[in-house]
Formats: sequence, C-alpha cells, structure tokens
Amino acid sequence: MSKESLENLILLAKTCMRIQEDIDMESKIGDFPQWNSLSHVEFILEIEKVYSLRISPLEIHKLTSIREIWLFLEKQKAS
Amino acid sequence: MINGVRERILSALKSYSNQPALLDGDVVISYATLELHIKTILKSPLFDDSNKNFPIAIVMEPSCEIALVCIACVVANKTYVPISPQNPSDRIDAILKDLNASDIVCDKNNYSSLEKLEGSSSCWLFELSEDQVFLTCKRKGNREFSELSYFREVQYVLYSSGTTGVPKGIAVTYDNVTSFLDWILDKIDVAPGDRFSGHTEMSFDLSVFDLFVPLTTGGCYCPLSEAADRVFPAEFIRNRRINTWLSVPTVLDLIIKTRQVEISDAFGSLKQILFCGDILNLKSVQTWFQFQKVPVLNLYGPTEATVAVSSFRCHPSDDLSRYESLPIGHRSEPNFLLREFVGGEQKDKLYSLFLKGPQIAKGYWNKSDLSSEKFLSLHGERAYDTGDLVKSDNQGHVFFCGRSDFQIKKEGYRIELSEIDYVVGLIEGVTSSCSIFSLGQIVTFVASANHNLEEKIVMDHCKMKLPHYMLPARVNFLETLPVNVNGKVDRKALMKLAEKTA
Repeated sequence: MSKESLENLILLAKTCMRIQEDIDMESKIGDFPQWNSLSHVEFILEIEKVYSLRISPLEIHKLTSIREIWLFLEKQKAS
Repeated sequence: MINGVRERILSALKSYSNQPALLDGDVVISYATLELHIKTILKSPLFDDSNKNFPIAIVMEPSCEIALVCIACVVANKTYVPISPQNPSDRIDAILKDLNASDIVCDKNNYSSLEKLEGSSSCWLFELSEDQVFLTCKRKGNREFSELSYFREVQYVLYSSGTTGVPKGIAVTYDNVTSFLDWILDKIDVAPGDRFSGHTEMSFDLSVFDLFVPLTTGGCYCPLSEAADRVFPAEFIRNRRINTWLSVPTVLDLIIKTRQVEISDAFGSLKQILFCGDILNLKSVQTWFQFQKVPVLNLYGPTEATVAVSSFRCHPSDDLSRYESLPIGHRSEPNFLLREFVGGEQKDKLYSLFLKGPQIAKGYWNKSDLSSEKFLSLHGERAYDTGDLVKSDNQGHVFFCGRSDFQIKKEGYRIELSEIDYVVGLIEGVTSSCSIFSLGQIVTFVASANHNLEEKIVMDHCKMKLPHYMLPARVNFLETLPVNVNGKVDRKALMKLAEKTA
C-alpha cells in the first residue's frame, strides 16, 4: 500500500473518531479518550465501507492499531 | 445490618478459600490470597486511624488492583470514591476539592499526573507485584477533613455530571448496597465459582454489581483490562468462561454490528446477559435471540437508587414483537411510585417516575439543597425523583419515554447538558450557549460577539474541563440564540437547525 494510502487511512481514523491530535502507524485503541471500543468499531465499519470489504469478527479482534489495520489492508490488496 | 456486604465478604473469604476471587490476564487471586492482600493493605498507615472515617479517592485503571483497594475499604468500613483516570485533570481536581478528600490512591499509570495536581491530599501508590501488594505514601498532604454527620454509613461516592457545572457526588450507604444485593440475587442465577465480567470502570455504578455479587457469593470478578477485550467481548466471554455479563446496552449493539453475535460457540458459558444504564433496544434483543439462547435482563435504575431497582427478563421463546419498546419493569414493583405528569405533547398518559425503598441513596455529597430537591417525602415515604418520564400498558408494564429535564444518556453515561454550557460559558467572548442532543450527537450552539472565536478554541477548552463522552461533536456559532415566547432558549428551533446542518 502506498504512502498516500496510509495517509488516507490515518485521515479516515482521525475523521471517524474526531481525533484532532497527530496519529501515526503506532497509534492504537485507548491512546486517546475518543478512541474507545465503540468509536473503534465505527472506524472498522467505515473501513469496510470505504475499502469495500467484509472483515470477519475474528479478524476485527486483531485490528486494534493503525499498523495492524494497514498490514491487514495490504494483505487484502495482495490476495 | 447484621449480614451486610462486609460480613458477606468476610464469610466468602473463609468459605471459598481455594476458589478464584479475581482473574485478570495471567493474574489469578484466590479467596485465601485475597484475604492476605486485604490484611496487608489494612496494615498500611492509610487505614491506621480506625476511629476516623474519611473518603479515600481512588484513581486507577480497571484492574484487579482497583478491585483490591475497593474491597479493602469495604472490609475496613471506609468510604471510597473511584474517579476515572480518563477524566481531564481539571475535572479530577474539581472532584477532589468537592470531596475534600484527604487521601488519593492511584496506580503507576496515573501517579505522575496526579502528583502534578495542586492540592493538599496525601498521595498513595498501590502496586500488585507477583504475590505481594504495596501501598506506599508518596506525598504527605495536610488537608484537614471535616467529617459529615452521615458519613460513617457511606460505602462509596460516585461522581456524575452536575447541572451547575460541577460534578455531583452520589453517596451510597453500606445498607443500600446490601439491599441491592438481596434484590438482584432474587433475579439472577448465581452459584459459587461463577465468573462475572467487569466491563465498566469502578467510577460507574454497574461495577458494584460486577464486584460485589461474585465476592459475596463465592464467584470470581474478571475485569476487562485490555482494550481488545472491549472491542471483542465474544472472545473474552469464551476465553474466560464468563457466566454473567453486565454492560451498557451499546455493547450489545457493538456485538451485533461486528457480527460477533453470529459466533455460535462464543457465548455458551453464559447463564444470563444483563444490560443497564441506558435504553436497551428491542430490535437488538430480537437479533440476539436469532443467534443465541441466553436470557437477557433489562435492568433499570439510577445511581441514586444503587445500580438497579427493576428489571424485565426476556427469554428466547418470548414473543417480543408485541412491545413497541422493552419494558423497564412493572407497575407492581415495590420500588416504583408513578405520578401523573402534566405537560408535554405526547398522546399517551405520561408519569413521572419516583423511586422509594431501601436502595435510595443517602443524598448528594455535601449538597444539602440539591439533596432536598431530589430526595423528598412522598406519601410519608422517602423517595427519589428520577426525572424519567414513563408510560404503562394495560398489563402494567412500564416503559421509559424520555426526560422531564435536559439530562441525556450517551454510551451509558449520564450527562447534564447544562454542565457543558457552563464550561463553554467560561470562554472569553461567549455571550450564551446551549447544547442539545441530536441524532446521537451533542451539538453546542454558541452566541458570541467575538468573530475570532473558532470551534477549535471551544473544543480545546472543553477538553481541559470535560470527560471525552461530554465533548460536543459539533459547535455552531450564532449571533444570538433563538428564544421562544417565554423568553427561554428555543431548543426545538436549535434541534431543527442541528438536523439541517448535520
């Protein structure tokens, strides 16, 4: 996935969870008060919509940081 | 009370010594070890003066550690006050000042931020390391605590959003909690060895159920201390073999949205699943029953009535389609007092819901005027005015219909919209402000003559003063706020405006 795509993912996270602070690859659920379990799920559902894919419940369990989500999207793109 | 919550815990410590009492990740604490830990904690100088009661503020993450401190306070008959570390430091400071707390207990994660707070409270660090506990005084305070007359009866004080801009502390007694335990044990299936989820923070009163139901019946408290567990409760329930789950209803919506509900073997250990703290969506329960056979309990009750005072049990075989929404209880509930509500525009006959009985809290901490306003005498009985409006069907089921004031519920949190307006009103240049709840979001309208005032300035200010769940999703600026014929802010007009600009 390109740098631009990573920036888009970060932008999506910031918009979806109304995070004004800087976030990066290492940012994860719980790092900001706004990024809690409920807003995280809304973020995951938004990813499904934007990237036109369906994430299984078991996969959702593992996707708790920008890095994990980005790697997951990379894998999806390759398959 | 002869067999109160304290005596029940002491009895469980003896009766179930080999059973697990607390389970968090790899940490398993048996009742025997729990007893040893409590003895160690109570030897600390914090608990030295047994003749003097004082509130112990606790600022810790959800964990076995905070559970240990709370249990020790109960065994020592002390009053504890859990405060969420998620609160901004200004709000924690405001709570500590209102409480006039002489001592704060915190964990490693929160110690440094609390130390920076100005104030004269003593600061204690609590640590659980392998098989040992440590409670160390890191800063000696000099605050003189003046004891309130009713203080000795109080088990805990929980702070909730306040209409005047300052959070209010709800003082709940040991007897209130014992009465709650008696009430809830009659409603649910519990046995020694059962495992209970600890989904909510200790500063939220559902934790009273999570902690004290198992620890008075030989069960085990299992806090969700990992963020991933909160995103994926199904895995937590399966791995921990949870028997009773309690959370706010939004968690059921999360389980459904993420399709966890469809995992057939995830919820097999559950005897029952309980929801409290907000409206439980009827459709969500119907969806739950499409995939799972575990009964659902819809609990109702404000913190002022000790967790919950009424319930509605749903079984997979029930025909729920006959309801418009889920009942919160029945008119025959001994704790209910319904009084006809005059006003409003709804077609159904509405009632103001008052609560009575042994679970009604002592009052608001150090706020006698507010206590007299909300805790009153009705037909010769002490009652609490919930502010909830309800209706009843011809079978006597009671349904929640809204509020008689401007309090809202968001993610299970109680929010007084006027507290947000108070905080926004402190910003230089703000003439007036009004927050409304529209389409699940808080929208704040600000009237200001200062054209340089931007949303970011308002939000940054709010972040310093309010917890994240109280932050407005949007801030709209107006020259003046619209008013109705009575000269009050026209909230209906603002609602329309919010929907238009959504």
